[in-house]
Amino acid sequence: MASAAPRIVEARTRAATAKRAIAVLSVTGFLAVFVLARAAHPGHTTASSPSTSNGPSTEQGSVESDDGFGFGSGSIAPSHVAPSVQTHTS
Amino acid sequence: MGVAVVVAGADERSFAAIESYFANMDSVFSRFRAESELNAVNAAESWLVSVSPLFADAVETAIAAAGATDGLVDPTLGVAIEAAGYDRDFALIESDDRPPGAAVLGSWRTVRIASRLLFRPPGTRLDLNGVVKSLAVDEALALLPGEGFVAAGGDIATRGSVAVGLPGGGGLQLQAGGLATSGRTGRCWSRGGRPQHHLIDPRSGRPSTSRWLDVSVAAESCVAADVAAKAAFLLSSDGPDWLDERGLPGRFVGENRTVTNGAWRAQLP
Repeated sequence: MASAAPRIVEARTRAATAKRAIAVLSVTGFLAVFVLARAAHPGHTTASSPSTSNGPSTEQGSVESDDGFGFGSGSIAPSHVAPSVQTHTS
Repeated sequence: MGVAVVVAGADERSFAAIESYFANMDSVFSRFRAESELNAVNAAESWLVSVSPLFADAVETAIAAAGATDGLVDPTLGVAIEAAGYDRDFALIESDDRPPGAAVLGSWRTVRIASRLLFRPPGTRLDLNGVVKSLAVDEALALLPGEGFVAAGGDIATRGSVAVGLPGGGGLQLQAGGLATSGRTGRCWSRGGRPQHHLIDPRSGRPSTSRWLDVSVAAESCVAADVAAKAAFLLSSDGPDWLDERGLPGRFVGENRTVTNGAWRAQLP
């Protein structure tokens, strides 16, 4: 009985060390995933439709969200000719 | 994508490229092709999935659109739209007496993309059709050698002015950028006697009860117009002001009348 106590203490120490290691690894892993996800967040991406960015833009119309999604501005005018194409719900 | 594509200003080479591009988009993002990448991703049981660059770009845009609309345009409503009954190609859907399935709320904040690694809870069913069609229109326009336009299922992107007909009559000149219409008149059916349509409100997990039939919006690109039109539709009475706050012209077709917002009237007096 007398010799069991040090072994229990050693076991507890090893268990505590292991728990700390697991905690450190978990935090490190979480931070790695978090950083990767942040780095890939759409706010850091390039525009997906550069071809249509040549339209006129007003200051009001150049609103861009925190997520990097730009609505830009619509440019419309009255028409006096027959439509070439139709917009509709698909 | 189950929609007609109209192209103006293409030469033979660019037309072939556009045709191929749309075919590829359909093969990757279709909910109704068993072999599509979308279905493979949705079936994956792990939290992390490796996806193609094309898929990753679409997810990035979809997440950005969700952020820009406070989650109204949500890419995680695949289960919800299937619960509403849109679980096969639209041409095959028949109204029946079965009630719709359980409502499923949007959960776009659980989705992350890091390069080509997609992170989302297993069981999430992405539906990227909120942005894919209009993204394809924008990308197809970039393939044109000069001025022209591309339209797919009513979503339009143009380089140079084009005359566009509007829902219910009337028209305008789209001078640049994109124009899109979203609403509940195009794809609707019923379940258990209740009308259903494809625009799910992520706040309820059910087809939107918006007061509008159709909302048309012009913006810098087709995908921007499409996302804004969907958000304005879902916001119902708040839609016109939401567009005005962003300087976007919008036209709202209701049951009894059509209204336009301030930005629209400023350009089309």
